[in-house]
Amino acid sequence: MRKKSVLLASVSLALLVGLVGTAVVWAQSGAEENHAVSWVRQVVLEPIRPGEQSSANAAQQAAVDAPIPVSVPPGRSEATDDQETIRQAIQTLVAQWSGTVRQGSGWLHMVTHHMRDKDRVSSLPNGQAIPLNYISETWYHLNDQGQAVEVIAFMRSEDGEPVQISTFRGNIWRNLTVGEKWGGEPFTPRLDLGFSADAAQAHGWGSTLSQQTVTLAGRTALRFTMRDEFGSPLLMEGYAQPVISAERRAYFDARSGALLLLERVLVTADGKERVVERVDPITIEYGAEPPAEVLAFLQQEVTK
Amino acid sequence: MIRRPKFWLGVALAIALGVYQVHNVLAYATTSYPNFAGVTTAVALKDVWVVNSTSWDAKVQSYTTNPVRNIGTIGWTWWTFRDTCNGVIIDNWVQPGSVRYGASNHWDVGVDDRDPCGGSYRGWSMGTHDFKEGDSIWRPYLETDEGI
Repeated sequence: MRKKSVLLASVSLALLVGLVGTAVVWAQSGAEENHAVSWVRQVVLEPIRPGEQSSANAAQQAAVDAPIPVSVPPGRSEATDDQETIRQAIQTLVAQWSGTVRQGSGWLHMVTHHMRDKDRVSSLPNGQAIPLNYISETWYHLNDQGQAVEVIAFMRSEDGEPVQISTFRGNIWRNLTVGEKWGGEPFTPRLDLGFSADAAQAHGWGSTLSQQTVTLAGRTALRFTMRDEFGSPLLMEGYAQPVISAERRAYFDARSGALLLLERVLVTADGKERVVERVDPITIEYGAEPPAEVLAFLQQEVTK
Repeated sequence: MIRRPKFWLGVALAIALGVYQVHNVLAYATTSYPNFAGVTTAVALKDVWVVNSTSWDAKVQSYTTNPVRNIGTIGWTWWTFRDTCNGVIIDNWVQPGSVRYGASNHWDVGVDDRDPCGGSYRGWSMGTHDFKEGDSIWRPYLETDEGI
């Protein structure tokens, strides 16, 4: 009897504090008149074109107490064993590879080639178009814990001309090209461009993982796929057609674990599969010092 | 002193749940103008969140509360959402201004794809809100950014 009382008390307390937390969420978002709801409301919206209100959106706005999407992630059930096995395989592979590349403090140099396919390009605040295809070159200065405490990053056109230059120094990010700066914190660079971190969250996002052994440019590669299915067609900025599903594919060398290729694929409402981005790692080297002219960017300041 | 493991398990669960909820609140950026035009509280809100491995969302919202009141003009003069990788802007979507007249709430959500990034990858929602009622005008600039 006494055990039951204690259990009951603890569960009640959990519910109480949880409800208080929820109440804070509602209060912060103007809950009396603007009821916050889960993200699920967001994904059932009709596709929204840039600068347009969808009919669902417009109808929603007509009601004073309309539900409003907020940043509350979805709840999911337990991951299945096969999904967990694949997730762990990705983590193990990337950790093994990262361990062989990084060794203590020093400079990490990463160059990747990004080839994107979009229907519309965006522009920098200075009016310059952001190229769909570009070379990303980044120098990370790592401390003893492997965290980047200084960064020099370039976006270059495919012919090598700088499009943007940014730096991280003294916990401040500076985009030297557009003249903006903001605060940041040291972080651990991800040699796999964030794929394993995404895979770790796949379950919570409702994404499905799969694994295949393939041959890529004559090498045996492990291809991991993360697939998202959308409940209703989703219109993303820069694309003319709504999307019904998407995949993110990472190819790793089966022996070394090195990233060989990243692909993003969208499946549009008409059933067509479109590779919207390919990322080829060009250089991943540890221990090389940046040239003096690159290091000099760290000292540049912006006014904004 | 309570020595029941289940009790402390419950307490830990409660704290975790509370912290989780409050963490989500902190993803917002809001600013408000109490007693705007002497009739309501005007609230400007920006938010950013990850949907899944494919996309992330940016939100802008202008509304009135305490009490909810239709006002002359409500919305924003401009709104932009962008993603940055290591300080470099990958996409920068500039949206036109948008307002409603005689309304209490106006919002929009932009959807952008997530790009592979080996470092600090962040989503931004930024812009100037627009509230007008009679002779009263309030146009606050507000931005927020989150790791995406």
